[in-house]
Amino acid sequence: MPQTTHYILDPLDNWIRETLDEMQVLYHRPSGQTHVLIEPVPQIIDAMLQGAETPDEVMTALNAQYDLQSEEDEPEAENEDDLTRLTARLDEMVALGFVRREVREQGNKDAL
Amino acid sequence: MRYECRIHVGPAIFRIGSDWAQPIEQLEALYQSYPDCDDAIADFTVRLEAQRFYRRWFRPSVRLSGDYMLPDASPLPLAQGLLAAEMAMNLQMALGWRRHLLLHASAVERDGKVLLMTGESGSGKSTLSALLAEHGWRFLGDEFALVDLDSGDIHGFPRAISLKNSAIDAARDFVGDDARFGPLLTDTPKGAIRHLQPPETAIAAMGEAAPPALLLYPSFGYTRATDPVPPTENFVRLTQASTNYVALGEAGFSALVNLVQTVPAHAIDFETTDEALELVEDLWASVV
Repeated sequence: MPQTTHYILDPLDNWIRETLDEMQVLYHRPSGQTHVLIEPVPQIIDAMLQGAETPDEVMTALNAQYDLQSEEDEPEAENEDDLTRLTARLDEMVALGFVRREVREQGNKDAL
Repeated sequence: MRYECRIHVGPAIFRIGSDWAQPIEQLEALYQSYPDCDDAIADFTVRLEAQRFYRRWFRPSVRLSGDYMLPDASPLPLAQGLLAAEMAMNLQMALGWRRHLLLHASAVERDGKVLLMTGESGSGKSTLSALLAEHGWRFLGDEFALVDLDSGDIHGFPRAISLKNSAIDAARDFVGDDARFGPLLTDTPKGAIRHLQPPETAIAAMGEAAPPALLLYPSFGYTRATDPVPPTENFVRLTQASTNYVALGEAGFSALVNLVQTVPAHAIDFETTDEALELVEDLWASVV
């Protein structure tokens, strides 16, 4: 059965985020670490707070919010590049500890 | 310990013990204007000990110890015992203080607002604070500024000002009273060092905190210039300038965010004390 990777943001109680200028700082309570967030990470967090979990869902939310694709006939290969870059950012957030990764079977809401 | 004194600087009280009389006598002379605290409970204990028992007399050498220690700290010759005591007191604050967010910064106050100055050792922040203290500003400290974790106010830590190398002669030009200078310590790990007593008015008011209004990153020896420091860069640089940011956890994060969100920061470059005074006055006028 096909699987999808979900990225789940830590509960809101676990972190504080403050905007300083075009960048943000995030304090992660469980690790005690401070992170400086630059584009597009704050925007990804905003999309995840609206319920986006998979890279496709996050990309759709970002596109809706920021009009990332200005040309309708953009080659599909470029979309895939964007998705690869977005997934890399999500994996970095997992490594930092405030996002966790879950692999689920498509159509099944329970994590494997 | 054979010889002992207590020193009260800002909110901290130090008990300093020594195997020799000389460093204690020098400390008592340098801190003679500070509040008497002989019966107070000390926050930190500092010990200046002989490396071996016979090193009290034979090539006397001071080993630093205390509540907080660096295991690989090199001993200093007895002639630099005063410097050893100052270094050990700073070490206690840097590693042990938890009541405030501690910034490696000098601070002065005027009009009920605080000017903070931070930067690497040798940037001119000590000299600039000493200079401003002779020009109508209240001296709050040349080494540590203590940020209140609730209010964000700056508490002073006005220990004796540590002047290094060329700053010693520069300070003698703008401080008229020779009696306020401690002994000249030569060939220390940081070159020549001479301590300067802060003005008595600053010591008398050392318990009075005030909100910060401006933060500067001074650089002495460069062509006159000013440049704003964006909040995020300021935040990152201040985490590096704080010795207890990580230890304080969320309280330190919140205090630092509040500081950079409310206090403008500028880098200033200058070549003379007159230029420094002009730059400070110009920027101060823009924020108060």
